[in-house]
Amino acid sequence: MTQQPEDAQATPLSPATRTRVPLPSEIPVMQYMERFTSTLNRFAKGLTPAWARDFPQFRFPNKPDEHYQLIRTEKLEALLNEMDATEATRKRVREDMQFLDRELLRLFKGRDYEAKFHQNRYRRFQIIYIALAMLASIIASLQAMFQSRDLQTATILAGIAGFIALTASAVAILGERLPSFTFWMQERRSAEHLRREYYRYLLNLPPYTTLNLKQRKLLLSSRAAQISGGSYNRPEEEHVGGGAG
Amino acid sequence: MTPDQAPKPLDLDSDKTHLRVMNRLFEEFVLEDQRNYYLWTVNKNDKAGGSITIWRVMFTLIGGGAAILIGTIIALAGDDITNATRDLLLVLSMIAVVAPALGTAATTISDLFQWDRLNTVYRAALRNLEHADAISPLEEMDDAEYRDQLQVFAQRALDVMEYEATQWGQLNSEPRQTRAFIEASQKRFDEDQADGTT
Repeated sequence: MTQQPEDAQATPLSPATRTRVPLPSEIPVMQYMERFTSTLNRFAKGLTPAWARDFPQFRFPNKPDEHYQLIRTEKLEALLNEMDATEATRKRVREDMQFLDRELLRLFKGRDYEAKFHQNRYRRFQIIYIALAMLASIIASLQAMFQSRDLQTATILAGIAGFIALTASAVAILGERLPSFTFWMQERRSAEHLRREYYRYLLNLPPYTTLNLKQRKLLLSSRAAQISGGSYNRPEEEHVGGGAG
Repeated sequence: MTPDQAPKPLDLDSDKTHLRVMNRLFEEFVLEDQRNYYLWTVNKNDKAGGSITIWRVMFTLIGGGAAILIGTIIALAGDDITNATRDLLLVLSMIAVVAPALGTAATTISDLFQWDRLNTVYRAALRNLEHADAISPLEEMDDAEYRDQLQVFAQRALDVMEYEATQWGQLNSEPRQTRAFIEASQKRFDEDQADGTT
Protein backbone atom coordinates (compact mmCIF):
# COMPACT_ATOMS: atom_id res chain seq x y z
CA MET A 1 0.00 0.00 0.00
CA THR A 2 1.38 3.45 -0.89
CA GLN A 3 1.03 6.65 1.09
CA GLN A 4 -0.06 8.64 -1.96
CA PRO A 5 -3.69 9.28 -1.00
CA GLU A 6 -2.69 10.61 2.43
CA ASP A 7 0.03 12.81 0.92
CA ALA A 8 -2.41 14.14 -1.60
CA GLN A 9 -4.80 14.98 1.20
CA ALA A 10 -2.12 16.66 3.27
CA THR A 11 -0.86 18.91 0.47
CA PRO A 12 -3.68 20.14 -1.75
CA LEU A 13 -2.79 20.90 -5.35
CA SER A 14 -1.82 24.46 -6.15
CA PRO A 15 -4.28 26.46 -8.30
CA ALA A 16 -1.86 26.16 -11.22
CA THR A 17 -1.85 22.35 -11.15
CA ARG A 18 -5.50 21.93 -10.14
CA THR A 19 -7.72 21.24 -13.15
CA ARG A 20 -11.49 21.25 -13.08
CA VAL A 21 -13.12 17.92 -13.92
CA PRO A 22 -15.48 18.62 -16.84
CA LEU A 23 -19.14 17.77 -16.50
CA PRO A 24 -20.40 14.96 -18.78
CA SER A 25 -22.46 17.52 -20.70
CA GLU A 26 -19.26 19.43 -21.55
CA ILE A 27 -17.49 16.48 -23.21
CA PRO A 28 -18.14 16.47 -27.01
CA VAL A 29 -18.30 12.66 -27.22
CA MET A 30 -20.86 12.62 -24.41
CA GLN A 31 -22.86 15.33 -26.18
CA TYR A 32 -22.96 13.21 -29.35
CA MET A 33 -23.91 10.14 -27.32
CA GLU A 34 -26.69 12.06 -25.59
CA ARG A 35 -28.04 13.34 -28.91
CA PHE A 36 -27.82 9.84 -30.40
CA THR A 37 -29.65 8.31 -27.39
CA SER A 38 -32.37 10.94 -27.45
CA THR A 39 -32.90 10.43 -31.22
CA LEU A 40 -33.03 6.68 -30.64
CA ASN A 41 -35.52 7.15 -27.79
CA ARG A 42 -37.75 9.34 -29.97
CA PHE A 43 -37.60 6.74 -32.73
CA ALA A 44 -38.36 3.91 -30.29
CA LYS A 45 -41.26 5.90 -28.82
CA GLY A 46 -42.74 6.24 -32.29
CA LEU A 47 -42.54 2.50 -32.77
CA THR A 48 -43.91 1.62 -29.33
CA PRO A 49 -47.48 0.29 -29.50
CA ALA A 50 -50.11 2.39 -27.70
CA TRP A 51 -50.56 -0.16 -24.91
CA ALA A 52 -46.85 -0.10 -24.07
CA ARG A 53 -46.54 3.68 -23.76
CA ASP A 54 -47.64 3.68 -20.11
CA PHE A 55 -45.03 1.09 -19.23
CA PRO A 56 -42.66 2.00 -16.38
CA GLN A 57 -39.22 3.44 -16.96
CA PHE A 58 -36.25 1.48 -15.71
CA ARG A 59 -34.20 4.66 -15.35
CA PHE A 60 -36.27 7.12 -13.36
CA PRO A 61 -35.00 10.69 -12.73
CA ASN A 62 -33.59 11.01 -9.21
CA LYS A 63 -35.05 14.43 -8.45
CA PRO A 64 -38.11 16.51 -9.38
CA ASP A 65 -38.04 18.87 -12.36
CA GLU A 66 -37.05 22.13 -10.66
CA HIS A 67 -38.23 24.28 -13.56
CA TYR A 68 -41.77 22.92 -13.56
CA GLN A 69 -44.49 25.57 -13.18
CA LEU A 70 -48.24 25.12 -12.94
CA ILE A 71 -48.66 28.36 -14.87
CA ARG A 72 -45.78 29.29 -17.17
CA THR A 73 -44.54 32.81 -16.47
CA GLU A 74 -44.12 33.74 -20.14
CA LYS A 75 -47.67 32.61 -20.97
CA LEU A 76 -49.02 34.54 -17.99
CA GLU A 77 -47.15 37.69 -19.04
CA ALA A 78 -48.51 37.30 -22.57
CA LEU A 79 -52.04 37.05 -21.19
CA LEU A 80 -51.56 40.10 -18.95
CA ASN A 81 -50.28 42.09 -21.94
CA GLU A 82 -53.07 40.86 -24.19
CA MET A 83 -55.69 41.87 -21.63
CA ASP A 84 -53.98 45.18 -21.01
CA ALA A 85 -54.01 44.48 -17.26
CA THR A 86 -53.52 47.38 -14.88
CA GLU A 87 -50.30 47.74 -12.91
CA ALA A 88 -52.16 46.87 -9.70
CA THR A 89 -53.41 43.60 -11.19
CA ARG A 90 -49.98 42.70 -12.57
CA LYS A 91 -48.39 43.41 -9.21
CA ARG A 92 -50.96 41.35 -7.32
CA VAL A 93 -50.74 38.36 -9.70
CA ARG A 94 -46.93 38.39 -9.70
CA GLU A 95 -46.76 38.68 -5.92
CA ASP A 96 -49.25 35.84 -5.51
CA MET A 97 -47.33 33.67 -7.95
CA GLN A 98 -44.04 34.38 -6.21
CA PHE A 99 -45.55 33.53 -2.86
CA LEU A 100 -47.16 30.39 -4.25
CA ASP A 101 -43.85 29.33 -5.81
CA ARG A 102 -42.14 29.67 -2.46
CA GLU A 103 -44.83 28.21 -0.20
CA LEU A 104 -46.78 25.75 -2.31
CA LEU A 105 -45.14 24.88 -5.60
CA ARG A 106 -42.03 23.35 -4.02
CA LEU A 107 -44.33 21.08 -1.97
CA PHE A 108 -46.37 20.24 -5.07
CA LYS A 109 -43.21 19.32 -6.99
CA GLY A 110 -42.13 17.07 -4.14
CA ARG A 111 -45.49 15.29 -3.83
CA ASP A 112 -45.87 15.03 -7.61
CA TYR A 113 -42.38 13.54 -7.96
CA GLU A 114 -43.00 11.06 -5.15
CA ALA A 115 -46.32 10.03 -6.72
CA LYS A 116 -44.65 9.45 -10.10
CA PHE A 117 -41.75 7.62 -8.48
CA HIS A 118 -44.04 5.21 -6.60
CA GLN A 119 -46.34 4.79 -9.60
CA ASN A 120 -43.31 3.84 -11.68
CA ARG A 121 -41.95 1.51 -8.99
CA TYR A 122 -45.32 -0.17 -8.47
CA ARG A 123 -45.82 -0.70 -12.19
CA ARG A 124 -42.27 -1.94 -12.65
CA PHE A 125 -42.87 -4.70 -10.09
CA GLN A 126 -46.27 -5.52 -11.61
CA ILE A 127 -44.74 -5.89 -15.08
CA ILE A 128 -42.07 -8.21 -13.66
CA TYR A 129 -44.82 -10.30 -11.96
CA ILE A 130 -46.80 -10.45 -15.21
CA ALA A 131 -43.72 -11.61 -17.16
CA LEU A 132 -42.92 -14.23 -14.52
CA ALA A 133 -46.55 -15.41 -14.37
CA MET A 134 -46.56 -15.77 -18.16
CA LEU A 135 -43.32 -17.78 -18.07
CA ALA A 136 -44.62 -19.94 -15.22
CA SER A 137 -47.80 -20.67 -17.15
CA ILE A 138 -45.86 -21.65 -20.31
CA ILE A 139 -43.47 -23.85 -18.35
CA ALA A 140 -46.35 -25.57 -16.49
CA SER A 141 -48.11 -26.34 -19.80
CA LEU A 142 -44.90 -27.65 -21.36
CA GLN A 143 -44.26 -29.74 -18.28
CA ALA A 144 -47.70 -31.32 -18.58
CA MET A 145 -47.04 -31.93 -22.28
CA PHE A 146 -43.72 -33.68 -21.70
CA GLN A 147 -44.78 -35.60 -18.60
CA SER A 148 -45.90 -38.68 -20.57
CA ARG A 149 -43.36 -38.40 -23.43
CA ASP A 150 -40.03 -37.34 -22.01
CA LEU A 151 -39.59 -37.55 -18.26
CA GLN A 152 -36.13 -35.95 -18.31
CA THR A 153 -37.38 -32.82 -20.07
CA ALA A 154 -40.36 -32.71 -17.72
CA THR A 155 -37.98 -32.85 -14.73
CA ILE A 156 -35.86 -29.99 -16.16
CA LEU A 157 -39.04 -27.96 -16.73
CA ALA A 158 -40.14 -28.64 -13.13
CA GLY A 159 -36.78 -27.25 -12.01
CA ILE A 160 -37.27 -24.13 -14.14
CA ALA A 161 -40.78 -23.72 -12.67
CA GLY A 162 -39.29 -23.92 -9.19
CA PHE A 163 -36.71 -21.31 -10.12
CA ILE A 164 -39.47 -18.99 -11.41
CA ALA A 165 -41.38 -19.43 -8.13
CA LEU A 166 -38.20 -18.60 -6.24
CA THR A 167 -37.59 -15.48 -8.37
CA ALA A 168 -41.21 -14.35 -7.88
CA SER A 169 -40.90 -14.77 -4.11
CA ALA A 170 -37.64 -12.81 -4.07
CA VAL A 171 -39.11 -10.02 -6.23
CA ALA A 172 -42.20 -9.93 -3.96
CA ILE A 173 -39.95 -9.46 -0.90
CA LEU A 174 -38.15 -6.59 -2.65
CA GLY A 175 -41.43 -5.05 -3.80
CA GLU A 176 -43.09 -5.25 -0.41
CA ARG A 177 -40.27 -3.32 1.28
CA LEU A 178 -42.16 -0.16 0.32
CA PRO A 179 -45.94 -0.18 -0.21
CA SER A 180 -45.59 1.74 -3.46
CA PHE A 181 -49.23 1.46 -4.44
CA THR A 182 -50.41 3.07 -1.18
CA PHE A 183 -47.70 5.73 -1.38
CA TRP A 184 -48.60 6.47 -5.02
CA MET A 185 -52.26 7.01 -4.11
CA GLN A 186 -51.43 9.16 -1.04
CA GLU A 187 -48.85 11.30 -2.82
CA ARG A 188 -51.06 11.79 -5.89
CA ARG A 189 -53.95 12.81 -3.63
CA SER A 190 -51.76 15.37 -1.86
CA ALA A 191 -50.35 16.67 -5.16
CA GLU A 192 -53.83 17.14 -6.65
CA HIS A 193 -55.05 18.90 -3.47
CA LEU A 194 -52.03 21.21 -3.65
CA ARG A 195 -52.71 21.93 -7.32
CA ARG A 196 -56.29 22.96 -6.53
CA GLU A 197 -55.12 25.01 -3.53
CA TYR A 198 -52.78 26.90 -5.87
CA TYR A 199 -55.70 28.02 -8.05
CA ARG A 200 -57.91 28.58 -5.03
CA TYR A 201 -55.40 31.08 -3.62
CA LEU A 202 -54.71 32.74 -6.94
CA LEU A 203 -58.41 33.32 -7.58
CA ASN A 204 -59.11 34.26 -3.99
CA LEU A 205 -61.69 31.52 -3.54
CA PRO A 206 -62.83 30.32 -0.11
CA PRO A 207 -61.23 30.08 2.43
CA TYR A 208 -59.14 33.07 1.22
CA THR A 209 -62.03 35.32 0.19
CA THR A 210 -62.54 37.52 3.20
CA LEU A 211 -58.99 37.74 4.49
CA ASN A 212 -56.41 40.50 4.45
CA LEU A 213 -53.04 40.02 2.79
CA LYS A 214 -51.19 38.76 5.82
CA GLN A 215 -53.92 36.34 6.94
CA ARG A 216 -54.21 35.03 3.43
CA LYS A 217 -50.52 34.26 3.23
CA LEU A 218 -50.46 32.65 6.65
CA LEU A 219 -53.47 30.51 5.82
CA LEU A 220 -51.95 29.35 2.54
CA SER A 221 -48.66 28.39 4.20
CA SER A 222 -50.50 26.47 6.88
CA ARG A 223 -52.93 24.71 4.50
CA ALA A 224 -50.15 23.83 2.04
CA ALA A 225 -48.10 22.26 4.84
CA GLN A 226 -51.16 20.35 6.10
CA ILE A 227 -52.05 19.05 2.64
CA SER A 228 -48.47 18.06 1.96
CA GLY A 229 -48.54 16.13 5.23
CA GLY A 230 -51.70 14.30 4.17
CA SER A 231 -54.33 16.26 6.11
CA TYR A 232 -57.10 17.77 4.01
CA ASN A 233 -59.44 20.35 5.52
CA ARG A 234 -62.25 21.43 3.26
CA PRO A 235 -62.28 25.22 2.71
CA GLU A 236 -65.57 25.59 4.57
CA GLU A 237 -64.07 23.77 7.55
CA GLU A 238 -61.25 26.28 7.77
CA HIS A 239 -61.46 28.61 10.77
CA VAL A 240 -59.24 31.62 10.60
CA GLY A 241 -58.79 32.82 14.14
CA GLY A 242 -56.40 35.53 15.16
CA GLY A 243 -53.88 33.98 12.78
CA ALA A 244 -52.52 37.32 11.78
CA GLY A 245 -53.22 39.07 14.99
CA MET B 1 -55.26 44.35 16.32
CA THR B 2 -53.60 46.80 13.90
CA PRO B 3 -55.46 48.05 10.80
CA ASP B 4 -53.26 45.80 8.64
CA GLN B 5 -54.42 42.77 10.60
CA ALA B 6 -58.11 43.54 10.43
CA PRO B 7 -60.01 41.19 8.08
CA LYS B 8 -60.66 43.18 4.96
CA PRO B 9 -61.18 41.75 1.45
CA LEU B 10 -58.49 42.74 -1.01
CA ASP B 11 -59.37 45.92 -2.90
CA LEU B 12 -58.83 44.39 -6.32
CA ASP B 13 -61.54 41.79 -5.81
CA SER B 14 -64.20 44.34 -6.58
CA ASP B 15 -62.34 45.69 -9.63
CA LYS B 16 -63.90 44.26 -12.77
CA THR B 17 -60.72 44.61 -14.84
CA HIS B 18 -58.85 42.50 -12.32
CA LEU B 19 -61.70 40.00 -12.18
CA ARG B 20 -61.74 39.72 -15.97
CA VAL B 21 -58.03 38.90 -15.92
CA MET B 22 -58.65 36.29 -13.22
CA ASN B 23 -61.50 34.79 -15.22
CA ARG B 24 -59.38 34.56 -18.33
CA LEU B 25 -56.47 33.17 -16.34
CA PHE B 26 -58.69 30.47 -14.88
CA GLU B 27 -60.28 29.59 -18.21
CA GLU B 28 -56.98 29.42 -20.04
CA PHE B 29 -54.60 27.93 -17.48
CA VAL B 30 -56.92 25.72 -15.50
CA LEU B 31 -60.06 24.84 -17.41
CA GLU B 32 -58.52 24.62 -20.88
CA ASP B 33 -55.42 22.91 -19.57
CA GLN B 34 -57.51 20.34 -17.71
CA ARG B 35 -59.80 19.83 -20.69
CA ASN B 36 -56.78 19.23 -22.95
CA TYR B 37 -55.37 16.78 -20.45
CA TYR B 38 -58.65 14.82 -20.34
CA LEU B 39 -58.94 14.80 -24.13
CA TRP B 40 -55.34 13.68 -24.56
CA THR B 41 -55.75 10.94 -21.91
CA VAL B 42 -59.05 9.70 -23.36
CA ASN B 43 -57.45 9.50 -26.81
CA LYS B 44 -54.33 7.73 -25.49
CA ASN B 45 -56.38 5.30 -23.36
CA ASP B 46 -58.73 4.55 -26.26
CA LYS B 47 -55.78 3.60 -28.45
CA ALA B 48 -54.11 1.57 -25.70
CA GLY B 49 -57.34 -0.20 -24.64
CA GLY B 50 -58.25 -0.88 -28.28
CA SER B 51 -54.86 -2.25 -29.26
CA ILE B 52 -54.53 -4.52 -26.20
CA THR B 53 -58.01 -5.93 -26.90
CA ILE B 54 -56.92 -6.75 -30.47
CA TRP B 55 -53.84 -8.54 -29.10
CA ARG B 56 -56.01 -10.50 -26.64
CA VAL B 57 -58.35 -11.57 -29.44
CA MET B 58 -55.38 -12.50 -31.64
CA PHE B 59 -53.79 -14.66 -28.96
CA THR B 60 -57.13 -16.37 -28.26
CA LEU B 61 -57.61 -17.08 -31.97
CA ILE B 62 -54.04 -18.27 -32.47
CA GLY B 63 -54.12 -20.52 -29.38
CA GLY B 64 -57.56 -21.89 -30.17
CA GLY B 65 -56.69 -22.30 -33.87
CA ALA B 66 -53.54 -24.24 -33.02
CA ALA B 67 -55.51 -26.56 -30.69
CA ILE B 68 -58.15 -27.19 -33.39
CA LEU B 69 -55.42 -27.93 -35.96
CA ILE B 70 -53.71 -30.39 -33.60
CA GLY B 71 -56.98 -32.27 -33.12
CA THR B 72 -57.73 -32.27 -36.85
CA ILE B 73 -54.24 -33.44 -37.88
CA ILE B 74 -54.25 -36.27 -35.34
CA ALA B 75 -57.71 -37.37 -36.45
CA LEU B 76 -56.77 -37.30 -40.15
CA ALA B 77 -53.37 -38.95 -39.77
CA GLY B 78 -54.60 -41.76 -37.52
CA ASP B 79 -51.70 -44.15 -36.81
CA ASP B 80 -49.80 -42.99 -39.87
CA ILE B 81 -47.88 -40.05 -38.37
CA THR B 82 -44.77 -39.10 -40.33
CA ASN B 83 -41.77 -37.22 -38.93
CA ALA B 84 -42.89 -34.05 -40.71
CA THR B 85 -46.34 -34.33 -39.12
CA ARG B 86 -44.75 -34.91 -35.72
CA ASP B 87 -42.64 -31.73 -36.13
CA LEU B 88 -45.71 -29.79 -37.21
CA LEU B 89 -47.63 -31.06 -34.18
CA LEU B 90 -44.78 -30.00 -31.91
CA VAL B 91 -44.79 -26.48 -33.34
CA LEU B 92 -48.58 -26.27 -33.04
CA SER B 93 -48.42 -27.55 -29.47
CA MET B 94 -45.91 -24.83 -28.60
CA ILE B 95 -48.21 -22.21 -30.12
CA ALA B 96 -51.19 -23.69 -28.23
CA VAL B 97 -49.18 -23.34 -25.02
CA VAL B 98 -47.61 -19.91 -25.55
CA ALA B 99 -50.56 -18.01 -27.08
CA PRO B 100 -52.99 -18.41 -24.10
CA ALA B 101 -50.17 -17.37 -21.72
CA LEU B 102 -49.58 -14.22 -23.80
CA GLY B 103 -53.35 -13.60 -23.86
CA THR B 104 -53.49 -13.84 -20.05
CA ALA B 105 -50.52 -11.44 -19.79
CA ALA B 106 -52.35 -8.98 -22.06
CA THR B 107 -55.47 -9.24 -19.87
CA THR B 108 -53.41 -8.56 -16.73
CA ILE B 109 -51.72 -5.57 -18.38
CA SER B 110 -55.16 -4.24 -19.27
CA ASP B 111 -56.27 -4.72 -15.64
CA LEU B 112 -53.14 -2.99 -14.40
CA PHE B 113 -53.59 0.17 -16.48
CA GLN B 114 -57.43 0.20 -16.47
CA TRP B 115 -57.55 2.23 -19.70
CA ASP B 116 -61.20 1.58 -20.52
CA ARG B 117 -62.53 2.07 -17.00
CA LEU B 118 -60.51 5.23 -16.46
CA ASN B 119 -61.87 6.63 -19.69
CA THR B 120 -65.40 6.53 -18.29
CA VAL B 121 -64.19 8.78 -15.45
CA TYR B 122 -62.38 11.17 -17.81
CA ARG B 123 -65.34 11.36 -20.20
CA ALA B 124 -67.68 12.18 -17.30
CA ALA B 125 -65.18 14.80 -16.07
CA LEU B 126 -65.07 16.34 -19.56
CA ARG B 127 -68.87 16.64 -19.61
CA ASN B 128 -68.89 18.10 -16.10
CA LEU B 129 -66.24 20.64 -17.08
CA GLU B 130 -68.51 21.75 -19.93
CA HIS B 131 -71.29 22.26 -17.39
CA ALA B 132 -68.94 24.26 -15.18
CA ASP B 133 -67.83 26.33 -18.17
CA ALA B 134 -71.44 27.14 -18.94
CA ILE B 135 -71.72 29.18 -15.74
CA SER B 136 -68.68 31.39 -16.33
CA PRO B 137 -69.38 35.10 -15.67
CA LEU B 138 -70.79 37.32 -18.42
CA GLU B 139 -69.50 40.72 -19.50
CA GLU B 140 -72.97 42.21 -18.92
CA MET B 141 -72.83 41.45 -15.18
CA ASP B 142 -72.08 44.23 -12.71
CA ASP B 143 -68.93 44.01 -10.58
CA ALA B 144 -70.46 42.26 -7.58
CA GLU B 145 -72.38 39.79 -9.74
CA TYR B 146 -69.26 39.14 -11.83
CA ARG B 147 -67.16 38.41 -8.74
CA ASP B 148 -69.77 36.05 -7.25
CA GLN B 149 -70.27 34.26 -10.55
CA LEU B 150 -66.52 33.85 -11.04
CA GLN B 151 -66.27 32.25 -7.63
CA VAL B 152 -69.16 29.86 -8.31
CA PHE B 153 -67.73 28.97 -11.72
CA ALA B 154 -64.18 28.39 -10.45
CA GLN B 155 -65.41 26.43 -7.45
CA ARG B 156 -67.54 24.20 -9.69
CA ALA B 157 -64.58 23.49 -11.98
CA LEU B 158 -62.33 22.68 -9.02
CA ASP B 159 -65.05 20.36 -7.65
CA VAL B 160 -65.09 18.50 -10.98
CA MET B 161 -61.33 18.05 -10.74
CA GLU B 162 -61.64 16.84 -7.16
CA TYR B 163 -64.39 14.37 -8.02
CA GLU B 164 -62.39 13.01 -10.94
CA ALA B 165 -59.32 12.54 -8.70
CA THR B 166 -61.44 10.65 -6.13
CA GLN B 167 -62.94 8.38 -8.79
CA TRP B 168 -59.49 7.78 -10.27
CA GLY B 169 -58.19 6.71 -6.85
CA GLN B 170 -61.08 4.30 -6.37
CA LEU B 171 -60.59 2.67 -9.77
CA ASN B 172 -56.93 1.89 -9.29
CA SER B 173 -56.17 -1.39 -7.60
CA GLU B 174 -53.65 -4.17 -7.84
CA PRO B 175 -54.66 -6.76 -10.49
CA ARG B 176 -55.93 -9.88 -8.69
CA GLN B 177 -53.99 -12.10 -11.16
CA THR B 178 -50.60 -10.82 -10.00
CA ARG B 179 -51.60 -11.11 -6.31
CA ALA B 180 -52.75 -14.72 -6.92
CA PHE B 181 -49.49 -15.47 -8.77
CA ILE B 182 -47.31 -14.10 -5.94
CA GLU B 183 -49.25 -16.12 -3.37
CA ALA B 184 -49.02 -19.29 -5.48
CA SER B 185 -45.27 -18.75 -6.02
CA GLN B 186 -44.66 -18.21 -2.32
CA LYS B 187 -46.67 -21.35 -1.52
CA ARG B 188 -44.71 -23.37 -4.07
CA PHE B 189 -41.42 -21.95 -2.80
CA ASP B 190 -42.36 -22.90 0.78
CA GLU B 191 -43.34 -26.40 -0.34
CA ASP B 192 -40.08 -26.81 -2.29
CA GLN B 193 -38.15 -25.69 0.78
CA ALA B 194 -40.08 -28.11 2.99
CA ASP B 195 -39.41 -30.94 0.50
CA GLY B 196 -35.72 -30.04 0.46
CA THR B 197 -35.35 -30.10 4.23
CA THR B 198 -37.23 -33.39 4.86
